[in-house]
Order: sequence, then structure tokens, then C-alpha cells
Amino acid sequence: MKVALIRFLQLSVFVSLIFILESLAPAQAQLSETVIASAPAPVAAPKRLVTLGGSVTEIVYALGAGHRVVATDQSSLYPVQATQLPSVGYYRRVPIEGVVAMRPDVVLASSHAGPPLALQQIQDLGISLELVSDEPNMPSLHNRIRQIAKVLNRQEAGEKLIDEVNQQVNAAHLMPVQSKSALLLVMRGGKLLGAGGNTTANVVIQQSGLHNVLTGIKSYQVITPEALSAAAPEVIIVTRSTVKALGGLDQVKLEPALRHTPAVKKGHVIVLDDLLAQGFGPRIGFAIQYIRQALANDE
Amino acid sequence: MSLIQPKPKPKSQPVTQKKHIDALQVQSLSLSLGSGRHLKPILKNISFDLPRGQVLGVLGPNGAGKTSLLNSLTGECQTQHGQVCLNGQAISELSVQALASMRVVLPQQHAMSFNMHVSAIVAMGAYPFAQFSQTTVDKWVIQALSEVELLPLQHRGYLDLSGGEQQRVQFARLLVQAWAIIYITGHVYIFLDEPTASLDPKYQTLLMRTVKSLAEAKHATVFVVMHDLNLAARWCDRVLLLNQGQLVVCDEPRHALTSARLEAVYGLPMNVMQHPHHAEYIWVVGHV
Amino acid sequence: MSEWVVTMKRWRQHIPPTHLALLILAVLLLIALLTTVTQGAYDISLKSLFTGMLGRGRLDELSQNVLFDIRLPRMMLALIAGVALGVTGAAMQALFRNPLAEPGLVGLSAGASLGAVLAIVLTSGGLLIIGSSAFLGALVATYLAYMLGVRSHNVSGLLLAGIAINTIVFSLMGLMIVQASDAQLRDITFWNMGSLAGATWPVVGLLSPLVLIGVGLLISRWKVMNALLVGDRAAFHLGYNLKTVRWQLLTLVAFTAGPLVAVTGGIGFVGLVVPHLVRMVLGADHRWVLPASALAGALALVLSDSVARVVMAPAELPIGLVTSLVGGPFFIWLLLKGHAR
Repeated sequence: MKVALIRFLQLSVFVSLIFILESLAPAQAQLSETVIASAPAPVAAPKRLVTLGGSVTEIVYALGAGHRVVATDQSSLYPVQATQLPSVGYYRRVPIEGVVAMRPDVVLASSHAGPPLALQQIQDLGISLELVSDEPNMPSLHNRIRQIAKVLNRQEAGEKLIDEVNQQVNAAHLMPVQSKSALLLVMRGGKLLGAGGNTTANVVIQQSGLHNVLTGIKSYQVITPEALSAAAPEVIIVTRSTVKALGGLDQVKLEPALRHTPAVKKGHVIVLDDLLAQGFGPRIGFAIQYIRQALANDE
Repeated sequence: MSLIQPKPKPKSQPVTQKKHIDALQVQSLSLSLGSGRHLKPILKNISFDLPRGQVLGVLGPNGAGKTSLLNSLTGECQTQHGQVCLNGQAISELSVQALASMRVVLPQQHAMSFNMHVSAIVAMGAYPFAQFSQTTVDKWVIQALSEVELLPLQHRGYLDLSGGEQQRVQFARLLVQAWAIIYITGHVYIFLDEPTASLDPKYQTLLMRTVKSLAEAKHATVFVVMHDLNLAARWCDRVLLLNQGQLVVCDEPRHALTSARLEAVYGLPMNVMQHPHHAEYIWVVGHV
Repeated sequence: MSEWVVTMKRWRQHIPPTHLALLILAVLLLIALLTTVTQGAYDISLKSLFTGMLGRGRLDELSQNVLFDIRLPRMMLALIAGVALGVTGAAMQALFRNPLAEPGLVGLSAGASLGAVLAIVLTSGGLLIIGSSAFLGALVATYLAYMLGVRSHNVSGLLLAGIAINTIVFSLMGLMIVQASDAQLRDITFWNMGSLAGATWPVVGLLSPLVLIGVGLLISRWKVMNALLVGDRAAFHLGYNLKTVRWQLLTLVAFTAGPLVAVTGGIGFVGLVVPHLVRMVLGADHRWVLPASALAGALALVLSDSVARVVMAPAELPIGLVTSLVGGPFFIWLLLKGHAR
């Protein structure tokens, strides 16, 4: 019984402490319970930004507001300056205190950021949060740029960026390419995985005018040598980190699973920067150009 | 020793509500273990009565079925045939809690998974009874530990004790439970399975004397399995000789343990002698 | 170190100051709560906290909101989770008579994880869906293990059933994982590492009565747990129906740990190490082990959460990672010292 008494006393002390603190607090401003959607952008250009999502960060820098970013997430790897900023971690598991501690004026978050509860609580604390569309397609990219530009009050720069992106993509599409079968490989956990139909990499492949042989599978899966032979891709795209992991492009071509594919035999193996291969951001045009150029060179 | 006084019976109660048969009664008890073709008979048609206040010693060679008999009487082992009655109630119809408030058991081996303090273990004897206050239980724990001369060790870890000390701690726990039962109902059945095996003569005597005095005060009826013929003869009112699952004899020691019978059961020559100074018999294994 | 051990042993041989130990734990917990309330990515100094209390200074509004809406519910969750983990760990160790037991052994955590994974992969659900699914998974797995294991006369059946459940569940989870997208994979990984980030006052308000009732009932069963320690036979002689007793304890553990795992995900090692340490100091009498495990578990988790919030600020570590990083080596040290009895 003494035990229960001690615990009860300790709990009551703690609870009373809370009540004392509460009573000293002013009436808290009632914040509207907004469903997570765009909040009205502040008129003046925001001074402190937190960006969540690699593409979001990239666009902010591309619009010339990179110096205002105080913290990003761990997927924001471009440009290099972003990697030197404090990171709040995984953008789908945002820590509330971490974000708030940066005292941002605005939080620019990819639509995939989460958890929803954390984002809601950040807004409830009075911090402006803007969710931007983050799907791997051109309309979404345009929206993204526009939304971010609006928040930053740099609409002109936004339109300019969109024009640049469109120009690059159009130029890329003008480059000749033969519709060949392709797949994209990354190395994870010591295994070679192929990009399936629902990945962003798939969109990159398709935008390049190639045909992904792995559209039937979901996400990234281990591809057996037999399946690879059956698929017989004419083009193989590997990420730079994969090449490094395997010890060079020649090693990649010697991989038993890949050795007998038409792609390796004809030398159509393209090495692509990791972020370009798996993202759909402002540099998508550049990625497509790169792929088509590489193919043209190999002919 | 009567620090534990049984509750006085209220005078308004009628003398007999129903016929109280104050005894342990065993009728035609048969037990077989195993199944199918491997069915092995352990006990064969055992019947005996043990009236209140008596101490019964169970003797017999290894494998005779002594422990199985004890387990059948405590309710641990279900028998195929026959009946065991405590105070006129068949134990097969008594709940586990009801049994725990009528009888106490000291098995041969004890398990202990974690290192508990001695006093906590002895206090467990009072667990079946929610009505006793912690102070009463603590008092009993101290008395029980004093009884077995282990009071200085009350805060030691059980696993740090020797085998003999552990046995005495278990006996102290049995005492607490027995005293609690005596307090409530006035009488307890005590079942002991080779309680003296790891004890030296001093503590053998102490243990047997404790249960014997409880029996003599009519507060206990004792059923004890032993190996030692002389110990059994000294402390038991009657002995039950078991051989290959069958009851050979159940009588006072000097009548039951004749050398002819013992030789037949144990297969060794047995000499029965009279103590030179006391009116007791001594059993000694003869030269082989 | 060895002098400390000798002192501990000598201390244990004398009158164990169990009341004193509980008081010390409670005081330590209070101190921990007061100090960790100032810890976090967001800077709230103790001084401004107290001047705010005394009415002289004022915490700015944002600081107050962070304190009351973000940090305090999280600390309460850490408190409750720690209490639940400590007590259910001790209960499982009594049930299995093994110092290495914890709720995960009967497949409880595996079932919760499977429920959570199913919810993550098949729905796009938020915490409520994932949580309920995890709770159901925990219950189903526990009872399945019980049904399978109850046929045998001792706990080894339960243990084997738990192993079987764990194996099946992880295979099923593997099937789900193979189909999951990258984002879902990350979500599953983070779920398995446990986190207190979902703490809001409504969640805490919902969870507290459940957990406190479960913990209260478990603590009141200290006699039963002591009886289990002296073996099945002795427990029978003392009037305990073993099947009933095991069923009750298991139900209480599932009832207490299930909703908790549903909210926090799997937080490992607390249920294993805390009761172990408590037994080392206070002996195995559950009358003291249970409340002490509750307090010590709360202390461990409040401190771990503080570390999780601070060490990589502004990012946060999943709390299960902190408890494993600290608890794992610590447990190995315990084993090497030969205290794992």
C-alpha cells in the first residue's frame, strides 16, 4: 500500500505542476483546424525556410532562395549546399520539435511528407506549412514550381524556371531515340534490384522514350538471371553509386546476370547520377538529354 | 508450541450438521501410468484409513509406488479407480483452493527459478488465505523460521543456501500454511515425501518432532513417505508397507515390520533387535 | 565495479530496504521528469520555465505551446509506456520462469507488427488504423500461442507456440514487404523501431486508463507470480489452478502491452533489462519487483526519450533504437557477469 501511495503522490505532484503552469499561461489563441492544404502565403518573402523533400529543396535553390533555407530533410541531396544544413531526418517521419526548433517562417513540404499528425501539429503551433504536389509527372512539376514560387514571392523566377525546364525537356524530346527495351538497376544490400512500374525511375525511363521491361513488377525487386535473360533489355541504366559498389563499369558488364543481355553485348549501358535516375525534379530535362545522348554516342 | 490457537467454535452451532468423518480414507485405489500397450500398473487396489491425530509412515523399496500414492492423496495424480476422502469429501470433487485449505504438502524436490528471499518463500504458506493481515503472516514467518532454526537467514537468497537449509525453509513454509489451516478449521492433513532425506539427525528429529506434536494435539494427521525404518518406527503410530504397488501391511511398527516380511520385501536379511536401554526396537540390515 | 557488486550482495543479505528503494526510484523519476521537460530540439531553458511559473517572466507563446502540446504529452506517453513495459516484462518472466522472457516471446510484438504492416501496406491509414490493427494483431497472436501451447502441462508448450507464431508472422510480413513501395518499406522499418512521436493528449488520454488498469491488475497479482516461481507442483499445493492463472496473466499482459505497442511500435529491451536489474537489487519477490519495475521502466523510457530527442537534433532517433543501443550491450554485460540467473 505504501508503494501505491508513493506512486499516487508522485503522479499528483506532476499533475499539479502541469496545472500550475497552465494557469499561468495566457489564453491560447484558437487556431483554425485547417485540413492540411495550402495556407495563404505570407505577403513578405519568408526569411527562414524549412524544406521537406529533395525536389522541393532543389526548386527553392533553383529559384535563388537557397540562402533562406535553415534546415532540410535527409533526402535533400542536391545541391551540395543543402547537405550541409541541419537535417530533421526522414521526411515521412518529421519530428515536430525539430522543425519548430528551427523557428521557420514557412515549412515547404512535399505532399508525401508526414506523418499527417505531425504536420497538423506544426500548423497548430502557428507555423505556416505549405504542401506541394510531388508526383513524377510534368504537370505536378509545374505546379510544384509555381506553388513554391508563390510562397517565396518569386513568381517571375518561377515562370522562368518552368520555361527553362520545358525548353530542356522539349530539346530532349527532339533528340532522336529508338524505342528500345530498357531497365534501371540499383544496388541495395549487396543485391541488384530492378525498378518496377510504380517507381519514379520508371517515369524517367519512359520520358526518355524507352520502354521499361519491368513495368509488371512493383517497387524495386531482385531480378533473377533467368528473368533478365527472358526480358532481354537492350538498354541498361545503372546509378553511379551502383557502379562504384561493383567496382567500375567493366565489372558491371561482367556481372553474370547481365553479361548475356543485349544491352551489355551492344554496349548500351548508361551510368546516371542517382538523384537524376530516381527523381522527377527541375533537372528532368537534363536527365532525358543525358540518356538520349549516351544512347546516340553508343550507336 | 501452541502459539497458534485454533478459533474457538461458536457455541450456538448444533453438535453435528452432517456426519463428519474425521479421517483420511482410501478405498480401492488403483493407478496405472502410460497408455495403450505401455500401461503400467503403479498402485493396485490400496485401501486404508488414517484417523485424525495419527502419524502414518509409508515404507517400501524404490519403485514400490510410495510417491505415486502420496501424489494420489494430495490430488496431483488422477487415479483410474478408487476414491480418496478427506473429512468425508472425495478429493476429486474438491477444487484446488479447497484442497489447499485442508492439506499441506512437502514434496521431494523443490524448484526455484529466481533467487527469492527466505522470508518471502516462507510467507507463501499464507497465500491460500486472504483473510490474514500482513502483520499476522510476518509473525508466523518468524515463528516458523525460529522453529526450523533459520531465523538469522531470513533475508538470504534461497538459492544461496545448502540443500538441508533449503529443505528446512520449505518445511517452514509448510508450517505457516499448516498453522493457518489449523487456525481456521482446527485440523490439517500433512503429506511429507521423504522430508528427512537431506537433513542431518538433529534436524530430522526436529522436523519429525514438530509434526508429531501437532498430531498429538489432534491438530494434524500426518502421512509421511520415508526410507529410514528406524525413523519411521520411532515417530509413526502406524506404518504402511508398500511393495510393487500393493499394500503389504498397515499396522503398528513393531507388528508390521517383522524381519520375515522385510526380507521378503527388500530382499535383504533384516535383524530386529531390542534397544539395550530403551523399550524400542531397532532394525538393522544383516550381513549379506 | 566488483566492490559495487559486493556491496550489493551484502546489502541484499541484510534487511532489504525495499521501501527505501521504491522511494528512491520515485524521486529519481520525478527529477528525470523535471530535467527532461527542458530537453528537446526546441530550446526551453529551465530558468525561463521557472520564471514563467513564478509569474515573473513569461514563456513566449510558441514555447508554451511546444511545451504543453508537444513535449508534455510525449513525456506522459514515455512514462506510461515505461510503466507498462517494465511490469509486463516482469510478468512474462514470472510466467515463463525465465529471466529472458518478454512479451515478444509469445508472439505479441510479432502479431502487433504484422497488424501494423498490413495496415501500412493495404491501406494508406494514419495512426488510428495502424494502431487498431496492431492491437488486434497482438491479441490474436497471443491467444493463438496460448491455444497451441495450453495442451502441454508446462510453459514450454507456450514457448514453442510463440516461436511458431513469430516465424509465421515474419514470413507473412516478408511477403508484404516484398510488395511494398519504397516509402512503405521505410514506414515499416520505422514502425519496427518504435517511436513516441504519436503522443497527443487525446492519445495519452485514451491509452492511460487502459494501461494503468492493466498494470494495476498485474501488480495486484504479485502473489500469483511468486507462486509460479516455486514450481508448478508447489503452486498447485498452494491452491492455484495453473491453467487459469496462466490464462489470466497472459490476458492481462496482452491487454496492457497490446494497445501500447499499437501506439508506439516495438520498443525493445526495456521489458527485459529493467525487471532483471530490479531483481538483482531487490530479490525476486514480486511484491517489490512489480512496482519497482514500473518506476524503473518509466525512468528508463523518460531518459531514453530525452536522449532520442536531443542527440541528433533537429532530427529524432526512434526510441526503440535508443533502448536497443543502450540495453543490448548492457544486457551482454549482465550475462558476462553471470547475473543472468
